[in-house]
Amino acid sequence: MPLTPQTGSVAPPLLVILLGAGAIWVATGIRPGMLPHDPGPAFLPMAAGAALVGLGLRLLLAREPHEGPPRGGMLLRVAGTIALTLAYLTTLERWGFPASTFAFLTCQMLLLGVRSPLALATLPAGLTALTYILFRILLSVPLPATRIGGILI
Amino acid sequence: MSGWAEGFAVLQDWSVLAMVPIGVLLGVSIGAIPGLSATVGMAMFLPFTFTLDPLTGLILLLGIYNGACYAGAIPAVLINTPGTPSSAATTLDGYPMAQKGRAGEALTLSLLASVAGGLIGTALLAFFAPVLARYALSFGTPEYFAIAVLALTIIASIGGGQISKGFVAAALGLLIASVGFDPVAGFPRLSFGSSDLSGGIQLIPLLVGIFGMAEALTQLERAIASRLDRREIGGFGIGSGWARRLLPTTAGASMIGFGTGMLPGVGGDIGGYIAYNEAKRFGCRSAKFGEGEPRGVVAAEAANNASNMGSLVPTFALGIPGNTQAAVLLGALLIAGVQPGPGLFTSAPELIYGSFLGMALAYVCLLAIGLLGIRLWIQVIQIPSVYLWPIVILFCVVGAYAVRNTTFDVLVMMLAGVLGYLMTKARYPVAPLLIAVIVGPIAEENFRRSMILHQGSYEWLLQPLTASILAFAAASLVFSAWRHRGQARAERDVAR
Amino acid sequence: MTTMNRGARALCTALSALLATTAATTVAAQQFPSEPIRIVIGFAAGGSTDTNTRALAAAAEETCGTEIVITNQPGGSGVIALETVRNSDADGYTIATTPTEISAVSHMGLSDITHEDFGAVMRFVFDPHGFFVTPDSPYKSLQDVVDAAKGGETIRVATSGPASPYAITFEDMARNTGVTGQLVNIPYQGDAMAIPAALSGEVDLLVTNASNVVGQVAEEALVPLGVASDSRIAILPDTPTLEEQGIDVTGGSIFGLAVPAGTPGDRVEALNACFEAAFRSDAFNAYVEQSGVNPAYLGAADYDAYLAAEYQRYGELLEQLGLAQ
Repeated sequence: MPLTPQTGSVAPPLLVILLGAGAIWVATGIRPGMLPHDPGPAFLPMAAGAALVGLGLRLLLAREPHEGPPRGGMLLRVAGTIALTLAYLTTLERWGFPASTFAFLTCQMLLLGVRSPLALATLPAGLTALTYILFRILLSVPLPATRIGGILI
Repeated sequence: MSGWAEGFAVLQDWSVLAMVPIGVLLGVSIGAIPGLSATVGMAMFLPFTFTLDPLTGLILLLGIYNGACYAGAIPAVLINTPGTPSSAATTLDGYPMAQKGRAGEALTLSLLASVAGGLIGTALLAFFAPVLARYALSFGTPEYFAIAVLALTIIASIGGGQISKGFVAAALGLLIASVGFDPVAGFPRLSFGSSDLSGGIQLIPLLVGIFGMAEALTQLERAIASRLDRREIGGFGIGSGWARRLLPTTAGASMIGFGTGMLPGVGGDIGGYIAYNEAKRFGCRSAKFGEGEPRGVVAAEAANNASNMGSLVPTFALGIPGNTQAAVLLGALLIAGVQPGPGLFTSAPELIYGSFLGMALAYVCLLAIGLLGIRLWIQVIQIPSVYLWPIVILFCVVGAYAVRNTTFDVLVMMLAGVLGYLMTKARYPVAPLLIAVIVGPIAEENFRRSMILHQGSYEWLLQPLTASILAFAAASLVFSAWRHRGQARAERDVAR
Repeated sequence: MTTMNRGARALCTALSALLATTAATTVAAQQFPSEPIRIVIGFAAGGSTDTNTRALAAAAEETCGTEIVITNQPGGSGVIALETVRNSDADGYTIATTPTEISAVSHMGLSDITHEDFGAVMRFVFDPHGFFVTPDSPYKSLQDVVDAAKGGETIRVATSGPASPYAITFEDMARNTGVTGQLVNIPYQGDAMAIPAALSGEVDLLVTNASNVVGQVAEEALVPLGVASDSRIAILPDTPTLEEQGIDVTGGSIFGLAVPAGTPGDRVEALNACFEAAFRSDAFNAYVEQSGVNPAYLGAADYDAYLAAEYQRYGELLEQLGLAQ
């Protein structure tokens, strides 16, 4: 269903109001502080929630044109990138950094329409190796590692 | 003045001098990678300094400190992702400049402003540290609250578009900041029983996500047609006319940055935003802040580098770390057998004045490395989109992971990326969210502590210093609302 | 043809080198440790836990003969890092620093983590909590503080929050002397904020680890009134303990190492041996001398027993202070 400018602009303020109401509801359950005269831990989330509800209502009344969500190929690329990043982070600790990074880069480039065999054969592997050397070896940043064939990588 | 002579004498050793470029280079590499911050970099090299003599180790760490602070601006300009939190304000005008084909100019400006801010900061630190430290102590809990409120009022002015949308972003930021251990009561809130959430949302994954990941999503949405696009980078020179016109901004922003940096717990990120806001307030009518205004880049970068030096005031003069990087430096000093404090200026002059000279040298070195390097790292935006943005995502993931080595932080980064993408689509500004995340906890903690200190009475709001900062904040709010209306009216008139 | 040969030969060399390293690692896997050891610190870089642990780890890289990778996972009074280590493989390659809070968090309902989730490796530093005032303070001893409080004065005490070890020690002291209502807990986010508050006179009394304020004490910007240890400590030889002043309270910050429960005993022993060697090394001793921390070694079994006793003690204490959940 194509979204008209008007319907498009309703969704964000509604979300804001819902989020604010949710925050107020959750904040009522926060364990109170035990220091005398402390306004308490619930004070800030409660105030932020109230502000969200108020501002959301205001924005709902003053609707403005909105470009609407992405469609077609645009949506595929954005949703695909989010899904691939999610997959990347779940495989990160299971497969270790090199394997999951290689897989992510290959899939992501395929998603974006890279079809050149040369690029697909060299870039993901090369970039994986480069980042591994940069982070793990040169800057000694701990990266997720796993044992492949008895070796820790 | 003999302290300077002693400092100069110890610096004549080659093994000490060699640490200046090594430190700066390390700092630049760490700072330019989103997610790797100066703190992490310095902590990584801290054990290495155990084996060096005190000054050599200190110079290495200070080189990393200065280099990283500057380098944060590189990805801020090129890919709209601050390399370190300090450069968050740099994205406001740096990235629009790059998008308009003036990336080279923006990078040169950020380098020159960083070096100028750093040198001004070093001079202030070297000559006035003990006096200034005593002055910084007069900022108590109520004054901290007032400063935080002042920083929050910036939201009204940098939001752009509808002010209420900026406030929505800020309220969202306050909510995000509330997650985790409460700063006063010490119990978790909004954690829904998850131990990961009870640890709070870390600033760096949020920052990397809301800028880097979000920008990648925004760019990939329309990447297909331009697989082999080449973006314009423009010249590298800034012209002599600009140099003169930017001087007042640089000087003013450096003072603001240094002043805020002196307060423990208030860092270059806040200093950058405050200076940016003031530059905008005092900017002439023709200045188009938020759309690629050179003054915006200069203000943010001069301020955050000066702020970095300001943070060393309480470190050297009182032995109290002004920020987390200074805490690492303090650790290095202690391990080297040096007790920071006012006495340091007389008990170990060679170390103190040696490090001041070392810092000044580091900035000179940074200028050289920067001028040579700009042409190299500007190539980043010459990489075709289909390769560049997957690499940016890869760096965002590693950067988020490197903070605490948890995939939870990577998840936070990704969700922040989606949030930032959606906000941009719906035309909600993200800078107010970030300011609220950084400043909100300071405002909350100090407000609540003021109430506890004054046993429930609001009298503390009337203390002279607190009241005047709050009055200034109120005036700033009224001013930006007034200006905003004037702008909206002008735009309507043009439309008509 | 010759280039091909050279390429093939290079490939062969590379492959055999790879095979050799594989063989070497499999053989070395029999010995422990043969891979990098990870230490997870529950507090931010630059803090006392971080600095103490990094100093020890730097020495241990030599004594253990392997790379030691340090990770900071600040958050939730050190609980986040403890969770990470609890959930790691019990193979001795992941070590947690044990914060003082490990004995308190479960009693306070903050987490279900206790010392039983871990096997102790060793304790290396015990930094007693001290009470400090500025030189112009009217209080010259803790007795003055107690007298003033009994006289109806409200005394503001800087701590790191009501659930922090500093606060527990100070509440224990207030309860012991019967002035609970008069001593007001003013929570700060760590020493970097609390020390300036004490220097500027925003609070009347500061509770912190003695080693955190060695510099300020040496400069006479702060004056120690007492330390909560069994006996006087090296860096403050003229400062009486609380016990000497008739207050039966001890408390301090504990710095130790532990591995996930279920780690094989021989690996714990190996870790204990090489980290003890690091603790006794000249490099670490130089660090101790300079930083003013209070070295206090306990071996694996002793530290296990110590943690169990602390857990018991904190449970009773928090119950009495009304902090237990």
